[in-house]
Amino acid sequence: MPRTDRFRLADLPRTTAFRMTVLFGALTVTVVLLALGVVYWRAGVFLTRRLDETLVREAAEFLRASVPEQATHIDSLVDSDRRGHWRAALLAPDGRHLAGDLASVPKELQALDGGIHALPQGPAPTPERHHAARGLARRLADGRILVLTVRTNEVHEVRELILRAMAAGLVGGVILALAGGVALSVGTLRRIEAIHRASATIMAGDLSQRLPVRGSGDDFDKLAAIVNAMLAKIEGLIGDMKVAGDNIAHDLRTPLTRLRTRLEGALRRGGDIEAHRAAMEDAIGDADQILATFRALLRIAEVEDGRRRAAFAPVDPGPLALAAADLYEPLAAAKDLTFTTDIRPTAPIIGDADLLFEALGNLLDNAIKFTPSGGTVTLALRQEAGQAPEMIVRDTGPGITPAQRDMMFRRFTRGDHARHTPGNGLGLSLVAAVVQLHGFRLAVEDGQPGCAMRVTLGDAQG
Amino acid sequence: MARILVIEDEARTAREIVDALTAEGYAVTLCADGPAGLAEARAGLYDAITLDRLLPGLDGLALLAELRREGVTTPVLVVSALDGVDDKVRGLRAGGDDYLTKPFALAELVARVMALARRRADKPAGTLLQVGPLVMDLVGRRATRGARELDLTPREFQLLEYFVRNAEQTLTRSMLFQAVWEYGFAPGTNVIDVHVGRLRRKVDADNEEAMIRTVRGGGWRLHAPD
Repeated sequence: MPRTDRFRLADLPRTTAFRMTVLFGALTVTVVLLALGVVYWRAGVFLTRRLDETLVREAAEFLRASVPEQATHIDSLVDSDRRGHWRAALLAPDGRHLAGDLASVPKELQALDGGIHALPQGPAPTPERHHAARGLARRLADGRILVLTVRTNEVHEVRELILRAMAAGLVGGVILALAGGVALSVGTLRRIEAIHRASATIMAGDLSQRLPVRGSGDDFDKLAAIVNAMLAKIEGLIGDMKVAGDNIAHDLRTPLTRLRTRLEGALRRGGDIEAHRAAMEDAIGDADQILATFRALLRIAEVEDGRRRAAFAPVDPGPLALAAADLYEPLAAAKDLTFTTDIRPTAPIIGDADLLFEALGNLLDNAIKFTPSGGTVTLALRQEAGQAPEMIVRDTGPGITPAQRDMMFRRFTRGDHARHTPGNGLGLSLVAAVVQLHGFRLAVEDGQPGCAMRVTLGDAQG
Repeated sequence: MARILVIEDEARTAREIVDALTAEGYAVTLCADGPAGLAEARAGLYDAITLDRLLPGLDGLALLAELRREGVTTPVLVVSALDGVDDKVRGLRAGGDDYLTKPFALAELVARVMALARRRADKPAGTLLQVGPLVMDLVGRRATRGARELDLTPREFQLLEYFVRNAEQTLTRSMLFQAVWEYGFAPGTNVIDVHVGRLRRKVDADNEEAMIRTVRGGGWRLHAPD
């Protein structure tokens, strides 16, 4: 069983949807972590600054109290703080303890400079619990020493909260990204599986099958629509090929049968060398006609291929029309037809001169072939201002009925009156192929009498 | 006697080509594969070579490229079942070689080989061409047969010049079309026949011996009256 035949979990991480989701998940998580990291850092700075302000304010309030009340102030500060955040001391100039719950000046504050310092180990010399704190110590005017410290618990708690949020965000983000990736990938793989099933049917030979389209207009729908349009074109081409193949079989079978009967008849009749020679010459004539048909078919296939567009170059239609007129005028004269030209200068066009000459030759050849003696064939080239140049081949032949117009560009289709005129019925198919290759336009018009073939040497959308 | 090298791997086709060229009086050597053909062609003793495009061992165009690289200038007629490579065909013709698509008429192949072999032998130069009583003045754009002036259109003059330059050789429809009209395809109808017919009526008056003669198998030959 081919690998893509059914949905497999192992295929998940290989899908584009999964990879994209994981990538975006990682990006989102990084952005969230960065943002929270900034918050973590700024919150710490902000809260610490607030604590520092509180310390300065407390010190100022202490100084505002009268000297006798100062010891009570310290004690009440410590006592009223139930959470045990504040610790303070008032020491005599000789270091004796006067008030508060600290016995001495913590080593980080011994400079007694009144500035705020961090106390990573807490204020007590040998604390039972380590709590980082911030504090200040200063010598008062009368020589006593004031020590104030406050624990930084709040800062740590807030920071921890932020850290937890970050962890939760990280875990949640990763889980969400993975889940989203799996969900999207499963959808993708299901659609690929559906496309694969449809393709398998198509490859098995059912060209009428189309890739599934969900109608949501998403990327897959767009892609499927493109492939479906391609399939429709291929189906049409294969249909054309089948029709063409049937036509080839039909049109070659007739001359091949004639060739065979002729040889068989010659063999049966016997006769002298001259009779055999005549039969062989007739047979070569038949074979030549078959080969000419083949050559014309290959030529059309070559033109329809489209690769010849690569060799397109500027072509001046005037000299080309003159050369074609020069080539076919004697043919018309030999049939007692009047051949007139009305060739005026036009702007150059982009195309393949050989093919255009051949196509114009075929149009002239047809016109001459189907116009009875005494008639007229006209070749005109002209360009109206602001329009593409036009080449018109007009004849006074039997003309073409509207019903015949649709048929005439199909391969091997020949008008009823053409049954007894030599030709393989491929001339106009080649003209149509050349016109299509160039993106030109070909119109068949009633010549009143006869028929007029008008080739517009310009954009078919015009 | 002119010598022709035929490099062709399909035995029956090869035999017919050899027979047809031998009948025209050529000494013909046959090689059935690329390497042998290349070795034989290197000797450079040939006046023309017919070369199949698809050969066992070596592609025909590669063989030709190798020959030219080695400085062998023998003209080559490439014979191929592949069509639709107009650029390559034009390149070959511009380089003095020729190209023929299978299936072909033997008469066409013989005519083209003869044209190649002759081209090597003598290339008429100058401004005055003459075949028997027929004289063409390329500068004055005049043509006369004996004392009679021929009234030719420019296209007829071109056509006659090609006949005169290749006098006594069979020229096929497609050779004439390619040489005179210079468009890269084979016109399917008898349009060339009509042109040659017109030219013939001007060159050969009723009381004169015919110079432009129809060749059985498709083509014409300009023949100097004895």
